[in-house]
Amino acid sequence: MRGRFTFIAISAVALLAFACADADRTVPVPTPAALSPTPAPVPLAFPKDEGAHENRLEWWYYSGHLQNESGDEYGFHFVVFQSLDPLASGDSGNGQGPAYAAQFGLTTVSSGRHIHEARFSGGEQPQSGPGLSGLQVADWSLSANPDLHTIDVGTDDVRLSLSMIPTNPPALHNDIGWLAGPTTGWTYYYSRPRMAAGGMLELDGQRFIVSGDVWMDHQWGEFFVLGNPAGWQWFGIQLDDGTELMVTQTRNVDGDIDALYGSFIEIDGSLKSIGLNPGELELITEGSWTSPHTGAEYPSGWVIRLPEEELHIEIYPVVDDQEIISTRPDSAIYWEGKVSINGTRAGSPITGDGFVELTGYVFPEPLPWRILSTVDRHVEVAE
Amino acid sequence: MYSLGLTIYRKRWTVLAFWAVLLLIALPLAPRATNALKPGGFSNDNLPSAQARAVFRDKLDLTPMSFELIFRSDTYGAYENGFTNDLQAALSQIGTRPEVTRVITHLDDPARVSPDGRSAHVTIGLNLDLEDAREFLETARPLIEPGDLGLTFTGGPPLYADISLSSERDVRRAEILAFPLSTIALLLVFGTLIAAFLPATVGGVGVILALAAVALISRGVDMSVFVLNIVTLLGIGLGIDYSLFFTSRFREQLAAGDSVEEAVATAQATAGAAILFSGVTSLIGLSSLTAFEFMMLRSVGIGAVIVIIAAIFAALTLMPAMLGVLGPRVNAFRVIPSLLSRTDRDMWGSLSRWVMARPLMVAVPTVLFLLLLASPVCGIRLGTVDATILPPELESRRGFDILRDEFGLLNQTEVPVAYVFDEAEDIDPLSPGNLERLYAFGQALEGLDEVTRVRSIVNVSPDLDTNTYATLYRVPEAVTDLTVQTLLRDSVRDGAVLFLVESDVEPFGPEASNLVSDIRAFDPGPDVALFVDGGSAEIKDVVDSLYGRFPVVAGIVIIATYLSLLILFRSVVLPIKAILLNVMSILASYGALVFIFQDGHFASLLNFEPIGVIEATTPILLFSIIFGLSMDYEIFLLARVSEAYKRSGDNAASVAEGLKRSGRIITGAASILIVVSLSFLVADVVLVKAIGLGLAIAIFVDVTIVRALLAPAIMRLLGPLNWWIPRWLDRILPRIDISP
Repeated sequence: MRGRFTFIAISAVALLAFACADADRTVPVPTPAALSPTPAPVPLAFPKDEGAHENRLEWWYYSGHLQNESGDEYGFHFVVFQSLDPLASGDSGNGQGPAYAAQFGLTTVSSGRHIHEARFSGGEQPQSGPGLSGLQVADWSLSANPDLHTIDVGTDDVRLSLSMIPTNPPALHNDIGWLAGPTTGWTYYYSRPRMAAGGMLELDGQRFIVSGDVWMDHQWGEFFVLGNPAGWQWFGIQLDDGTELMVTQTRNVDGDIDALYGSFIEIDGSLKSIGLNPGELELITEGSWTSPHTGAEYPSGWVIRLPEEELHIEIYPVVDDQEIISTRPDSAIYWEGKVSINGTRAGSPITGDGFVELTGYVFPEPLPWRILSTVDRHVEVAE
Repeated sequence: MYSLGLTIYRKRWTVLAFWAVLLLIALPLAPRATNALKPGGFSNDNLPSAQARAVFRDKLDLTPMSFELIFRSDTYGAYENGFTNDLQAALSQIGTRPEVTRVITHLDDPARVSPDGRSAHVTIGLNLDLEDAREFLETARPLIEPGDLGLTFTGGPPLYADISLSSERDVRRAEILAFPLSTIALLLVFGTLIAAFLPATVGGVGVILALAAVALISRGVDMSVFVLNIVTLLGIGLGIDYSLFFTSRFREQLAAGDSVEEAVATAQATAGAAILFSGVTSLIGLSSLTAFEFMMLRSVGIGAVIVIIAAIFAALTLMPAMLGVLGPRVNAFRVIPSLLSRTDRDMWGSLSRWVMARPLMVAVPTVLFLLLLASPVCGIRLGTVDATILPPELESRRGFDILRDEFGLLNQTEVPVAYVFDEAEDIDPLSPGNLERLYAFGQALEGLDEVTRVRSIVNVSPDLDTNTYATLYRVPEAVTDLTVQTLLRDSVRDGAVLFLVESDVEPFGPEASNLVSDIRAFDPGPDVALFVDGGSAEIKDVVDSLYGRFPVVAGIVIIATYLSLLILFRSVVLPIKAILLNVMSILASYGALVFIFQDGHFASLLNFEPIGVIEATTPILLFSIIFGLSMDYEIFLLARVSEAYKRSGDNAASVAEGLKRSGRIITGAASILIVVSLSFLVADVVLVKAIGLGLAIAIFVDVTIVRALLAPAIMRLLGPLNWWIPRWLDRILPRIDISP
């Protein structure tokens, strides 16, 4: 009996381990449940939808044409990206909440100078109202409400503080402001194609009062942007007759064009989706420009035709080199630039201003990525 | 033994000269032991997680070895040029070294920036094993000039380097404390400087000899840095114990009128034989460690065997030679009255008689009290060592704390799983068919209890299904999303895909162990194998392996000890009693360890940070050491009891007599060992602290509560059964007679 007690006592510690041990067992991998279908789009409502959403990717995009009191012309673009990546943040991640990236570019038409810079930040930014109030990305800020948008951005060379007032209602693309894509997934998408802008531009120590027109895009959804050879050409055009035109052409991962669509917005703000039927919309690329920075060959110079509107326009960059080069691996390299428009509508000459965005022309760096090359690139860009 | 004593006495100068030569050889070798020892050794290549690691290396190019650099600026944000320029300069040289496989900064992975935006951590991947990586740090440090940035090194190799360094420093600190304290204890026991100095000398010589042997052996066999601690602890403790028994007997014989020659020979025949026997018993206990497949335990076992042999050798040769030379001068330089000369001898006898008058009344509450002491052991959580065993001021530990507290890393359980396709099959994991299987597995992982998130190419978003993934990955180079791109880059190779399963459960708790089991239980179907690695899997495997073998090893130790005691005391029952009581001391010590080191009681008093677990090897290590050591005292006690019983045939009187005659020697010896063990409380490494305190508690419980109360009570209850042995067994057993 006592021997048994001894055995029981000495086994006490061992039992602790056995308690955790389990017999060999196997379980077949179960068949996954079917995904719930993509949620039906809900009608957009403002001012709520001017603000941020809890989706994987969202951006507020401003591109504008400004003039100072002396008549000098400038083109600028400013974009804030919000990323809610469940694998990069959230409760189980580093707790940093959404990640923000902002990019700003300014083109001086007379000198052909193009300046661009970026800011990054992360973390929740509680909003006081339904729109976007004072969203900070490092030292840059953005507010977006139906009656007023403001931006305040600055670099070592330039500072732009701008107020923008929408002059027409939001343009809901694809009629409902929702479409599948750009490549994988779905997105809400509306524009404010013409906002009257006024503010202060400080460039190389000189301050100007500036005014002009700004195009604003707001997109959010669950989608992935694919890169080279996939990508898109996007055009936001403000014609002098008070109409606006948005055209997007997308390429699939084989580099083939898989969609060409757009919106034509009348002076009264009414929107007509175009490109749904063959022959409604035609986009022709006229030339190309090769980046001395990345070696990427971008289209440069286009013709757009809308037969039904009797619209024929030619589009040319005011400056060739308006390439945006990311300083971080989580931002893409693309071309975003001010363009000038000449053409005819119903036989009459027409001009305008526009912005063009070209993505997916830089081949991704070979895998695996090398940090040192990344640092080199960053320093080169910083100069 | 008597004639060996005589021979040593007659050739005492030769013996001393031999030891002088031995010491001269050992002295330059002993310090080299430090350099030859290795960190780690808490795992082995046969574990499923270790095999998985090989798969991760071969199939997914994931070399587990890396260290972390944490850069910080108080002036610049992590993406400002002031930061990135210094970062570039700091990494420009290290990145070109052939040992470096990858350098990943926040410019590759934005999650590497701290929430305040001013710190970023960088991973430097290495194609080296742990030992070489530790050495490479010496090369790497001067190559990384952080400029105006603050820089902290952490990760595996720096942590192991600091563990080695701290372990070494702990030994020095403990030695500095242990030698004077044990000398004071010896002075209290003997009262004279010479008598007190002798055992300390013999103990020290034993340690030097053992360290020299460890230095030699470590050239061919991997030995753990913890061998240093164990060799020192056991060497000093046992060396002094043995010498104490020997010196004490020698003085007794001198006092009884023996000549020096007779006193040496008698001490050799009695105490010497007891030392030899108890030493062999200790050897049985500690050699059991060599049965484990883990380098740490195995090498500690080897170190312990070496130091016990050295201690026995020194006590049985050097000690008699020195006493032969000193003769009556052993009693010279009296500084305080000796405890041995005091007339309180009958305290132990009176106590045992009081106990034996009411054995049940004593035994029941004593057992209950011991069970109470042991009760925290029910909540034991066996874990593995991480950086928290180091003091917070060390650089690698600081870095560990920054990664945990500022970057939110290391707090949660991460279980990496390799999904490996049979090479005979279609090995493009991104083909639509394979994506379908991967997607199903990814969903199954997400469906497990406790899983908070799964990182893989097919767990990117809950809105994506197999078809969407197939579209997304048709041309992987076109993916621009950084997360997906990183996943494609780091977790997909021909024929293998990595899934990283994340959970909020504690990495080393039973829930994490269950999670590992649940993942391993999945049958992914034909032509696919799953490999699970990570800290949780490794600790599960280590614990399963250790404690799968522990009962067998413990059983062998117990049987061997039983047989030794059976032969020595000609009793079938007494060895069972001895083993049972020993186990109670061990369990009480385990309970105290859980209460203190796992639950964190007395943490500030003992100056450590609770690690929330008991390191998995500690209970085994303690079992082996305590079993060996406590049995020493049991032999000395039972030898006296047995001697008295043979003379009187009176069970109760012989127990009282045995306790009375062995009481103070055992108390003295045990108090010295307790002092030596407690001196390890000054250690920086929590693991060493825990072993030191665990030992001290077990010995204290053993020589006080167990010896004074439980042993006499049980022996009284057992009565004549104590000495029962079948005649046939008595006939066939060999006869050994000792009397310390």
